[in-house]
Amino acid sequence: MGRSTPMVRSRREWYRTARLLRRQLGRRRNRAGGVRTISELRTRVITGIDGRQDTVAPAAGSIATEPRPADGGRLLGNRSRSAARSRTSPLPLLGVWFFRGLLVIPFVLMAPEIIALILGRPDSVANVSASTADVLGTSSFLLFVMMLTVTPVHTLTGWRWHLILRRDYGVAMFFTAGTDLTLAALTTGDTFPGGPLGRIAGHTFLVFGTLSVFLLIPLALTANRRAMHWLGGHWRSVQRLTYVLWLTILIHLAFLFGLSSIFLDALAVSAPLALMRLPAVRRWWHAARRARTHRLLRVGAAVLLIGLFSVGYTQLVAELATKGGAAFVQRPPSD
Amino acid sequence: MHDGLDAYAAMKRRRRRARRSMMLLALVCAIVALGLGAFQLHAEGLSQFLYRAPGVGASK
Repeated sequence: MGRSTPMVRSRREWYRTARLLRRQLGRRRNRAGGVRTISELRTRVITGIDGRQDTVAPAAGSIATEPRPADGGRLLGNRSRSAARSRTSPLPLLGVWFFRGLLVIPFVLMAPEIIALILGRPDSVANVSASTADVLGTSSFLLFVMMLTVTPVHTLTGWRWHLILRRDYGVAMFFTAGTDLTLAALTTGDTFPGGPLGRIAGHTFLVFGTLSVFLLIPLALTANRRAMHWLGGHWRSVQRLTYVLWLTILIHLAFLFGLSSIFLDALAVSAPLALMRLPAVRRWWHAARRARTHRLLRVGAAVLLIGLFSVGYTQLVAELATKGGAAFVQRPPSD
Repeated sequence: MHDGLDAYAAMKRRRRRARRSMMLLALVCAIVALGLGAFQLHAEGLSQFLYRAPGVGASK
């Protein structure tokens, strides 16, 4: 009898939460045309709030992770009001579409050379061979970095409008890296002997580049809501392959560039992103931000981390701008 | 009550199977990539496999 009381209480709390949810979201229809169940509504509200996955996959539609107990009912009140505000404001939408617009840049830069290749123009194979790694390879890494930046930005600022970009950048990276691998297999015969296999796996750095692209396949396949429902709570563990991918990309760059240039830039952008993912750091930052404490320390750390990130990131963007511009006018640097 | 529990258990089984499938796919992808590398290493020799001439693979 003594044990039944907490159960009744928790059930009452659950029904209160359910009623609150119904009031906030209204009676909505699910895909099957029926009224959405409480769990569906709850999933929708919670996942709009808690986008903490470090993954290639959707933030806005993720499978319900349990709400943090400290948030309780307050989470459903204050945050849904702020979410409603952000829904009505055009700025987040503009921001999302601005950052989505950046995704076409690698394809725009490579388009003239690819069109020339399809039309069979002279020198087009040599041009694509010289440009593909520089343009699409650097772009893929930049997209990967952008995808990894989404979660630390959420930790630093508490913003949520950009969480959907994690999936967009992940999927865009898959297509960019896939195009890079395909073009390399087709056109780099002048530099790598041994046929298409030699062009994608004939060197240490090529093996790790190919491995990285192949590891993107399960990540891209599960970057949708259907896969999230299919995998349930295991979805996150599948998406943790992202960290293996991160490692293989760094090994690829280390073999390719050694301890210089782009590899050091990659380390410079990776270090702050990795640091902000440490559970202890993330928990402390979330708590300090909510409690509005340690402001000076947080600002100092943010400046330091953003500074280090910017050093590497600007170099990578400059590299893409130089090589991408040359590819666009079909005058790639000769090897 | 039992039907609900059975359905829940079936869902859990299905999701575990789904996870295994995706992990298996990832493993196959990794094995294919590393297998291609091993094949090339065997075909071309270690020095060719390790050595990268300046400008090969990237213009830097």
